[in-house]
Amino acid sequence: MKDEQVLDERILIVNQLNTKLKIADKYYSVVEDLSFELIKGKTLSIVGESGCGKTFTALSIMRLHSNPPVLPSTGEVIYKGQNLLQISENEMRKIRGGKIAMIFQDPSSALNPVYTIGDQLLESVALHRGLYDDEAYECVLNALNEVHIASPAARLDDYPHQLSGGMKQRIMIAMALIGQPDILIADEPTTALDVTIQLQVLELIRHLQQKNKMALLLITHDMGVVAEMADEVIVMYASNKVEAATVNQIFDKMGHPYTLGLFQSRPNDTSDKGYLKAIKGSVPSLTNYPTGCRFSPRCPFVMERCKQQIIPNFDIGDHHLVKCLLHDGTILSQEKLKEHPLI
Amino acid sequence: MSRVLLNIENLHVNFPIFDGILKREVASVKAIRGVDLCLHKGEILSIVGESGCGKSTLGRAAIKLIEPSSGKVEFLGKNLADLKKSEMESFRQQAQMVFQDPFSSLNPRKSILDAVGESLLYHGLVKTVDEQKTLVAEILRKVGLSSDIMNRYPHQFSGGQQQRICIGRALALNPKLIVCDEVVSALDVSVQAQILNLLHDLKETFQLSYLFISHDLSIVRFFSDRVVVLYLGKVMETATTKELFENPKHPYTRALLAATPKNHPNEIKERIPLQGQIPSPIDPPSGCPFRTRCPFAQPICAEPPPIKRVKDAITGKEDHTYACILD
Repeated sequence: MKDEQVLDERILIVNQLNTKLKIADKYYSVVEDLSFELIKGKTLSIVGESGCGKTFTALSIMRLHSNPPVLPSTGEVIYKGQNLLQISENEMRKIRGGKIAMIFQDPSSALNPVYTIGDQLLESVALHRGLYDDEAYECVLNALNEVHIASPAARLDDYPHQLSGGMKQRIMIAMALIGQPDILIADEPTTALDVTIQLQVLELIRHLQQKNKMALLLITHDMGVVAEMADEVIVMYASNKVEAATVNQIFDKMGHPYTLGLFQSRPNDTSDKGYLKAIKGSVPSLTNYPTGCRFSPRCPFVMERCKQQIIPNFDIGDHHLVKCLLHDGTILSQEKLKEHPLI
Repeated sequence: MSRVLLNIENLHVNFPIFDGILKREVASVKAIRGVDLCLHKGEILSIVGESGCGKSTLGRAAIKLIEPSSGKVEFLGKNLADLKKSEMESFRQQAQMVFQDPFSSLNPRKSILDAVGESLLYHGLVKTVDEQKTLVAEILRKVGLSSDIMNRYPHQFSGGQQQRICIGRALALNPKLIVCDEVVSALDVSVQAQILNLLHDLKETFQLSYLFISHDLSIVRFFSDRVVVLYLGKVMETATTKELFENPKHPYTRALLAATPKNHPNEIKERIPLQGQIPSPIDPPSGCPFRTRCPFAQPICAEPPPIKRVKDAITGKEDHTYACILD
């Protein structure tokens, strides 16, 4: 059982989140039965490849996806005692971008090219803080100072195209911070940036998170970013959560063959020169998921029953959840597990 | 026979900027400013650097997709600027390129047979369509695709498969050199590994050499034999891969390595904080281009830095070079 203090610190509870997409009169799940909690001041990272549903999870929490083709999500997203999936669009607008803010992968397409940075920041201040004129201006300058923009007053009249990628991402972060958010959702915030700029932006996010005690939901495909930032990790594959654990559990004793595959696909100091242990095949298409375990066609440890039944989550110790039959305790899976000492 | 496949000496590439009513040249983007490098046969030479450092321009100038402003590019001892038309055609067969985004580098209206096989007909490697089909089928098998996909179109394939098709197209003419410009950065992690393994196998089978352009240092470390670190169109440091990663000399190389994310959450990494971003190549700083961001910069750095040579632990020769006043 988790202790009282941890329960108090929970700021967002996601319970059985389901999001479906309608393609040619058929419904397909892009997010399936996803549950997690965000804790104040802590970082949860969702990891997965393109199409696994990690961005859709963020969009579902923010209710940002277009309807149709996406149906309204079902399940519960509890923030301060209310279910965000049930409240009216008007109430949602007060929370979205204010108390729950989001930054996106590509800062140049997230900023409006025909308005200056100043205009866009002032709009956000008026909307979420109710400040105008001098007070608003002051607030914007403070926000830009916090994200370490040099000579912020001069930047206010710039248009997005006049700034570099790293600067634009800082502006996005400043904009997200204006509403003094409890929760920051960052969808691949550094994927479009160079490594030196990536480090600057990650350190900035970490610093602001600690200062404001924000909960951070960090969506990424990069295990390096996870190692830098995360406290807890969820690995997603084909709309499903396949593994959930603390960051050390994931790095030291990953339980799902897909997580293992993700690690082995990246070269590290111990990789044999010139050859990587790649995962065979490619990610299944949303319209054509395999039955049973969705990773089974690519899994090196696959067993006959993996393809036939719905795979439950197994707790392999200390709330480390793995959606894989290798952990069901039968003789066959025990033997399979021996083939790989890391799992 | 010399071991050198590609030799670049003092290469400059400028892109002029025209402005005003008369469209006069008002400035130029100095993308490459005096680069020397040398690619040996059977070698994988990586070019690394941040965006805007000129690594793609260098890759293109190396196979004359961009005309150099000055300097010399030699392929198998022959200066590319002096080649006759027929010699140029044979060079085009021997040097190929694979790009970052496979989808935009394939013509959406051409079937895979046409995409891979067109150059075979043009260069006269096959005479009839039947021969072309047989050869294309063979090439597709080599890059790990089934030969019955020939009549399909690029949009019907995943990113990884499209990149395999692009590699097959580059391979079709039996090249000696392939310039790989960020070939895996648009792909998912699990597919990246497949493509890197494929490139490795093909290199062994066909005795290829790669000029491998990438910003991803962990892939470079694992994949290449030697590394050139580029910053604002100048070479900062050159060494064998192991030497560069274990004994980096230039502050920029050290900052780049320090900025790569950790391998494990418990790893403690010493960071070298870099202020600001890469300056504009229209008006690059004098002397060492890195001095505006370098934590060790001194007044003397405004002068051109000396090229220093140290002993490379791998080759045993003094061919680890870097351009910096620091020891």
